[in-house]
Amino acid sequence: MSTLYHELTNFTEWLLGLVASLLDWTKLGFLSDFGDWLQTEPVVTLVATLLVAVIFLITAMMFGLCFIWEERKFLGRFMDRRGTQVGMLGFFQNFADGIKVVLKEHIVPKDSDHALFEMAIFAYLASTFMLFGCIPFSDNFAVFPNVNLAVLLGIAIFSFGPFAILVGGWASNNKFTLIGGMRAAAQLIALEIPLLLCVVSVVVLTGDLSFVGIVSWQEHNIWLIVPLFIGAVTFFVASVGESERIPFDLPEAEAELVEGWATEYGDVRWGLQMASDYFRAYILCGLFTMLFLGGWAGPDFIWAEAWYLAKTFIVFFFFIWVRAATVRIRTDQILKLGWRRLLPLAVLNLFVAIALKLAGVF
Amino acid sequence: MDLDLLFFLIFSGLTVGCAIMVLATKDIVRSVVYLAATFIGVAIIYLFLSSEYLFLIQILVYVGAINVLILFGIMLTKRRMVGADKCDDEPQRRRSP
Repeated sequence: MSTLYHELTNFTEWLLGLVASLLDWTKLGFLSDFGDWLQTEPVVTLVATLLVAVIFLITAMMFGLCFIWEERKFLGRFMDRRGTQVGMLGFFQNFADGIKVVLKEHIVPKDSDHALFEMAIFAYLASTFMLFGCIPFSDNFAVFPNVNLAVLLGIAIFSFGPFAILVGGWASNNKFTLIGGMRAAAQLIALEIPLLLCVVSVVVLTGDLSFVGIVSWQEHNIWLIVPLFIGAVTFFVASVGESERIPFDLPEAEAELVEGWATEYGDVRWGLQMASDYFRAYILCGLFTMLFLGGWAGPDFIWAEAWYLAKTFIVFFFFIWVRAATVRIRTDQILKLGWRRLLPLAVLNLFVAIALKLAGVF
Repeated sequence: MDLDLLFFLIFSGLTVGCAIMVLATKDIVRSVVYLAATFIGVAIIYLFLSSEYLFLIQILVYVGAINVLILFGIMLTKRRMVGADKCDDEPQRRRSP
């Protein structure tokens, strides 16, 4: 278990003890029994786990918001303008948008499938927020750093996205959302397979499915971007596509499909859906950092978490660069790129990894 | 009552219920959603049998891939059958329950 977890367990014990002593002070029998029950071990574990989850979620979400800010500023610079100017270096633009979106009315289209309409966006957002827990900041600051199957867990949750998108696009009962949902699902499936194969090549070399294992392997040997350069490039292109950003943003091509599969969603659901595009980009940048750039490994003069975040922000800078430099491509081009270019490259990369492993280089 | 048994009963009940609903719903997309719920229920039962790997692969393959392919297949078939754009085709038609 992580240091964060230990600290919070101590804090929870103290807090629940305080609550129990307050309840004891009332001199009511059943209340002091309740106080005793609060101090039992399962309750402490549950509360501590919830606290870890909430703290980690909020931290990761704040950095996800920083990504939106980073994109606004850098995209502005790429286009030779200043970017947003609201508040401190434009950082408060996010909060302004958030407050505006929260104040909107919740509208459900009359002819939509109400239950599925609500369920789909909920499933999509829940899978995004679950993904936050999969990427540790370091071996101390994490929800579950040393779980054996952490990488696989992240990918399994990722694969839940297309399903929610398709159902949401259908349930809105709108041509644009249906087309957007179909495009999103086709694209996500086409790019998910090369992405998975790149992860497999990393796992082949490191022989570990946990982030701690992968990062410590890279600390002792070499950053995997050097031996698996093809894989890193493939992973990068595939993850730009997975996060539905500009060269691959067909699912929500504004000029043709209004807002893609999320056209009919309003209020905070839309706001969170919009933000969750960036959250997913953040998670993919984090995965790239973990798998190819040595994660939180780095010289000791700043914290491990700061190394991880710095690398993630640099990877996202390249995402922005791609967005500023390219134009949207067609559906058939995306599918062709996914199946005919990235898939063979990913397989080639897997062969390189296997050859390196068999030759005993690492 | 044993907590393990309680949770097993809850999730197996949900799985069986969703599997019945796959057949009982008239709306084909809804039955795919129930199918996804069935797969997730099976996956959770794998988790209770402490085989986490199988749990993750079940989610990855069945919910992530098979279900999306089924949905895809449904949506590429006739539009009237899928139920989209009801307003254009038959404005007075009632929703299937």
